[in-house]
Amino acid sequence: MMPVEIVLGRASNARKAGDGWLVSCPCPDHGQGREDKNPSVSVTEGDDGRALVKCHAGCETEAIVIAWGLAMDDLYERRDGHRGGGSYTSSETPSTGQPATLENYAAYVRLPVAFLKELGLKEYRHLGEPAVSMPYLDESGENVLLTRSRVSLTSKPKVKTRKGDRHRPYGLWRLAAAREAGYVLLVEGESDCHTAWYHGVPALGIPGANGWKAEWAAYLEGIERVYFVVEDAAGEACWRKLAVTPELQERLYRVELEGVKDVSELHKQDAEGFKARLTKACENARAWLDIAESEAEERAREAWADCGELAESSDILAEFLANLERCGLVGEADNAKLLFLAMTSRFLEKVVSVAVKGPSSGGKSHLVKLVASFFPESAFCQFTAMSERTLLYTEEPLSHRHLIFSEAVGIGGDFQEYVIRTLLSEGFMEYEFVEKSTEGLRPRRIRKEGPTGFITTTTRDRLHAENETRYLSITVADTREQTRRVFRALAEEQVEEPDRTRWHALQEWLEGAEHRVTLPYAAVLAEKMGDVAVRLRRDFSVILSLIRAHAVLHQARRERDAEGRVVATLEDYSRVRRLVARLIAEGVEATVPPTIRETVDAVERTVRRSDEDWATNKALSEELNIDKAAALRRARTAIGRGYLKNLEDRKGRPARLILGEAMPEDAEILPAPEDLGTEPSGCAVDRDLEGIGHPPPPSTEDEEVLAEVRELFAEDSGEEP
Amino acid sequence: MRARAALLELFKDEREWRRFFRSCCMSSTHRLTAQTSRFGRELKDRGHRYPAEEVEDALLGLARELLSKSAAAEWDAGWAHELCKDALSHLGKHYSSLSVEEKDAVDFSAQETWDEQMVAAGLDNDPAAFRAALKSWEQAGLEAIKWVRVRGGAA
Repeated sequence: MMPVEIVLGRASNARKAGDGWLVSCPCPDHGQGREDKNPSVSVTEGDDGRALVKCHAGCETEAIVIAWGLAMDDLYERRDGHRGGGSYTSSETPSTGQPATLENYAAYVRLPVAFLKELGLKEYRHLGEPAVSMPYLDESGENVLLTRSRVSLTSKPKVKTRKGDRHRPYGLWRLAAAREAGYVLLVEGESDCHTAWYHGVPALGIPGANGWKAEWAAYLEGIERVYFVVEDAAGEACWRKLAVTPELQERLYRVELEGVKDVSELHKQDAEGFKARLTKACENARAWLDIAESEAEERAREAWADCGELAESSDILAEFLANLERCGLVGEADNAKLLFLAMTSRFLEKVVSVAVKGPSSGGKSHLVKLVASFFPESAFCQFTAMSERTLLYTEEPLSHRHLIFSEAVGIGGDFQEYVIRTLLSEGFMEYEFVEKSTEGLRPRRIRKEGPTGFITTTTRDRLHAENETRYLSITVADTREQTRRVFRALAEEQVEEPDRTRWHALQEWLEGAEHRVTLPYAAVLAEKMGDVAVRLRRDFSVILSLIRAHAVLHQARRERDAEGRVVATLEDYSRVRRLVARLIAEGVEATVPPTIRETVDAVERTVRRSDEDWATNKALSEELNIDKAAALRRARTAIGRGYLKNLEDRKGRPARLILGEAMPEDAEILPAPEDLGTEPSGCAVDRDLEGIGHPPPPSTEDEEVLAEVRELFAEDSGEEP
Repeated sequence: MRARAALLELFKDEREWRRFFRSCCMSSTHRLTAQTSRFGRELKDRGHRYPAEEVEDALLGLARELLSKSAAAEWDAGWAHELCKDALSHLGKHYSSLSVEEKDAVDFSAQETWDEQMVAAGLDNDPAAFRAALKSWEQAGLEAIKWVRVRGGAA
């Protein structure tokens, strides 16, 4: 018995229609539970004898076959005693039993074959099975970037990409229409695109449920609103990827289709009402900015519950130090506080970068690791190994984050220094290169958004000349006394580790809190700082960032100005000054670090006592009571600054150290807090608004209402935290 | 009632819309202008239908009047650039259809007065005046092209 005869034997209300038959659909859900009084299942016989079954109301073929009490195999002619699809049966389409021909695909998505052909869809044979090729054209619509194939209607994988082809969004050649319309619908895959285009809705397909790449945002330039249709869990992941694409955030909307999975499903369910329902869904879409705002509020509420007490402390850095000492850190109080403030400065537009310098095994990495442990992972990214181009290709977000690495993991190449310098100075980094693809050599551009801070540990006295001035340099102690303190701390019994939950919560709360800070004394501070060196210009911005970071950190106890900005106090300056005054003065060489002064004095004493006219490194280390490596490092720094000279210029020979230039008297670079007064005459932020004209006066007819509304805005502003 | 008055009524009545407006203004001009259609729909639901441009101008004007220190109250060169880009592209299309002789003969001097007004509007931080001046500038350019075409390059 032929398959068609088997089917007709089970079906009811069969009547001849053209070359085939129309029968009633047996599915219980057909017509939303109503019976199929007007037969809507077509049954025809294929060239190879198989029965082609299709319900025009959209019921799945497999469901129909099961309802008839048959199996999918029964739709195929028996050969050699076996049922089976022969060469026409794709093993990958068991659920529909329908091979992926263009006609079947059209029927599956319920779109006219002619329309799909207009889009360039063609039927061909893929590994001997029918498949539909879908060309991905470039923006001009003239060049094929890649071709994907629909190899199955329902089973996975539905679509295959040729090996070596790089994924692109589907529908680039139709983006001009989206620009004209002012919006685009981002959907998953090709079939949703076909459906949207059929209804005249501009759409772009993301290949794969979670395949969005940040670099594709460039394609959407000039489109006012970008609607993303969230389908399922994978769609959620894609939404998160879109939401962290800075170029999209302000125009990104989240669309949820009530009661249906996706755009294609919406069309299948209600083709006539499609446009109206989709428009309604877009109107109800939530802007990313609003979603982010409410999520941030929620996160802030939760975080505050954990960190409220800590956030209201008058000296959070002192509490931090007390906690740090319980972790076994000794003798690095100021460095630890500075690192903490630098990492908090990530919220600002000018992020502070730090170079932790010191001898090998001096505890540099330990210090950084310990301080970082008080921050949530979102605050930093630690590289344990990296190539020169890691920063270009990493998928880690770099914006408002610190990157932590050491020389030991490969920092130092010229290209990497260049990338770091660009990120530090420009706040972003763009890199264009040519890559080989199936379409030949193609230019590709990578853009990394900052601002990004760096924390690096190094045994070098100085970093790359261009980068050195962009870091705040701190040096870990190298004395034997410090080593003894470390050993003592290690030998002490393990004390209870502090709970870091509230510290992480504090940073999470700060993330959603206010980051704009006004410094009423910024102008006075600028005036009073001596213009000692060009280098000071960068240091001044570092100082301002640290003061701002301190104010942001203590914002629960700081006043706000009319715009809601945190007002930094003189206490913020005073504390930062205590931490950086010496470093800044040393950096511009207005003062000599105590260790260097001590080293030069030790050389002078040694020479005076010795029979020779110079001091060796060994003698110096004995005089200073530090190990030889630390003495050598100090001597090198003193030589670099000209306070010492080495008469020995042959390699491998012991140094012959003599005195060089006279050391200057220590000079104060940063003014005392009391010198800044309290007058808010030099508010740095207000100065930024200079040059912007006053708003035009309101028109007379609405002046009263305007005054009323202005008061309401002022009241609202008073109510908000 | 014009869009500005309708928006004032909306803000007077609805705290949520005030909050939303403030949040947009504090973010950027782009965010505020991107939400024009949302404000437009709300006004429409309240029985007022206005062209998007009028709503946008009213929103930008109110940002200056109500929240003068917000980001949206500042002059946004990007916004102005987008408007100019569209006008230039429109004008460029017509200009490119001229013959070489016509291109030589076309006289755009009538645009100068509008050019000055655009600069003045920018300095005054007045988006509505800027848009109006730009429209007149574009119109003057189109008329100059039309004139030279009518005269066949002999203008």
